[in-house]
Amino acid sequence: MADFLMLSLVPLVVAVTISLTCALLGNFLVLRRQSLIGDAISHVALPGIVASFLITGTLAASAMMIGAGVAALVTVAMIELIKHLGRVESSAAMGVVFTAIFALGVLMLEWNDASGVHLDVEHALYGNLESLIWFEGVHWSSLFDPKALADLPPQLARVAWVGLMVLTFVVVAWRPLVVGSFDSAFAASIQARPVLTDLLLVIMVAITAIAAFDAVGSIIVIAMFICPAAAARLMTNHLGKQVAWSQVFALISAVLGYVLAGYGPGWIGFEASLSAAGMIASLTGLILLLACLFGPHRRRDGGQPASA
Amino acid sequence: MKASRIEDPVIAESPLAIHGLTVSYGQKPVIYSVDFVIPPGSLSAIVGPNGAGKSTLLKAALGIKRRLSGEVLVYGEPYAKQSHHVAYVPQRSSVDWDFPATVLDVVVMGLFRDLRWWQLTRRRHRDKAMECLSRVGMESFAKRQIGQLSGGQQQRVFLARALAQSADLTILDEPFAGVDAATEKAIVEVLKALKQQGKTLLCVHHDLSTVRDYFDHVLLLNVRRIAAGPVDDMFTEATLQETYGGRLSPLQIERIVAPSSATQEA
Repeated sequence: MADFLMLSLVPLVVAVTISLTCALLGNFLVLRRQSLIGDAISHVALPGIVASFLITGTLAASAMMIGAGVAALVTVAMIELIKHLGRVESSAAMGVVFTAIFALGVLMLEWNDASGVHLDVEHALYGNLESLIWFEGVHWSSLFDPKALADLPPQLARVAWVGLMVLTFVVVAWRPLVVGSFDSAFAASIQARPVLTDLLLVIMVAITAIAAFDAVGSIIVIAMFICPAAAARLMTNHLGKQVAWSQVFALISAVLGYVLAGYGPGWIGFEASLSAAGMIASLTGLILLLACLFGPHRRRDGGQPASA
Repeated sequence: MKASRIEDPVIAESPLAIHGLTVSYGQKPVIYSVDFVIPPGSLSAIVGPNGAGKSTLLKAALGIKRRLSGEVLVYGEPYAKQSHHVAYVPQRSSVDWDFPATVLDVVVMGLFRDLRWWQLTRRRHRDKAMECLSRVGMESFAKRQIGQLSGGQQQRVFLARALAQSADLTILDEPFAGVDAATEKAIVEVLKALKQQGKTLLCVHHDLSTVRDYFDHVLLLNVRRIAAGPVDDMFTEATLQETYGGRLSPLQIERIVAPSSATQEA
């Protein structure tokens, strides 16, 4: 059991928190057909972090976050610019911007010796959930021992704060978010500030993606922004229930994914364990596939329209 | 009438007075220097060919699209201050009807301003929404998901949402586009009932043959204002030919302009 405390508790809580947070925001991204923005922001975190390393020479969390934040801002600005100047769909604009900036980040990483310092493309992609070890977590009593608690990996507090902030945002801004997602022209006419809520939503996505990047890598983030909410949409025609389903799916993916990655190979006779991030992301994709096949509301017309 | 900055009483009393409104995409003006003053209590139509800037005019007036120049006054004051007087019904096709919402959810959105933006809706809001639904004959559909409705039913839900706003001016963008005859009749009846109560209505309308039957005022628009005023005076062969660039046949014109002879189809 001490093993669990030391090795698994923190990664599990971090994975669950990030998954729930991403899935919560994902509901609105999916409904607004903006899912790709999560993808874009998680990808550009890498070049942002590399650039901040090149400039500051440190891998301090604050410097990395600022670098990733600036990269996210630049990306969003470039997407808007291309959308307006090129008059293309936003997904097309996102597609070109984040792939180009991500590629630039990979080159920057290779040109400089940053690759030596625990900063590499693999880390960026599927993170390092398993490295979030709580060395002082030797006994259940450690949970109440301030000294041991101080030793908790800092990522835990970071994702917890971000999760709390996102939850507060969604609860408080629920009505403007819903009205703006459904009918932005109407929302503008009643001064529900759809542009502002849109901007706040993107900022929340960026903060979540960046906080998660460091702890779990971008694969989980990308998957969790899309899959649980998309699967949940196929389960119900009610927005509140959709959000609840998305949280259930995110929770199942995170817990089951972590357990399967850590112990699954052992059960079938292999020594090694698999990447937890990869397993969690795959599971949520599997849930989406199942929802597509068996979800009760996958037919969009929902039945026969009654004659008027 | 409350105090107004505007001296001209016609403009101060107008639910929507537009002056010199210009909107452009890139270099090309979509609407150019349009003037239009809606008399209170009128049922007005904006008529013009595709691409004439009809929807753009509405969106610019409502502050949804940025305007290059011009002034928009609601009862003599800028829209931003007076938006509670106005209900807007966008084109039905502008929203995603797969959105996970029920008919009642959508109508309750019309009560957005009755609550602080973080407050939850209460029973009295739902009751009000139900009452608005019954005014458009849709109360039995309250719990339906909006994607399960026909086009005409969706349009009625949008109208019910506007009713919930209890506005003095209701602006509708093509309310009759793609709806069945029964819905068209139901909507016209609701609009005329609102007019009876002294409310003002403005519709983008594309069916020239019903303009005389439904509306009392008209704006003929093709990027510029071609003509505006009472239907009887302004909806003529000359103004129509100018608006549509001479593309209407004499036969069409005859049918459209002929004084209202109750040719309305059921």
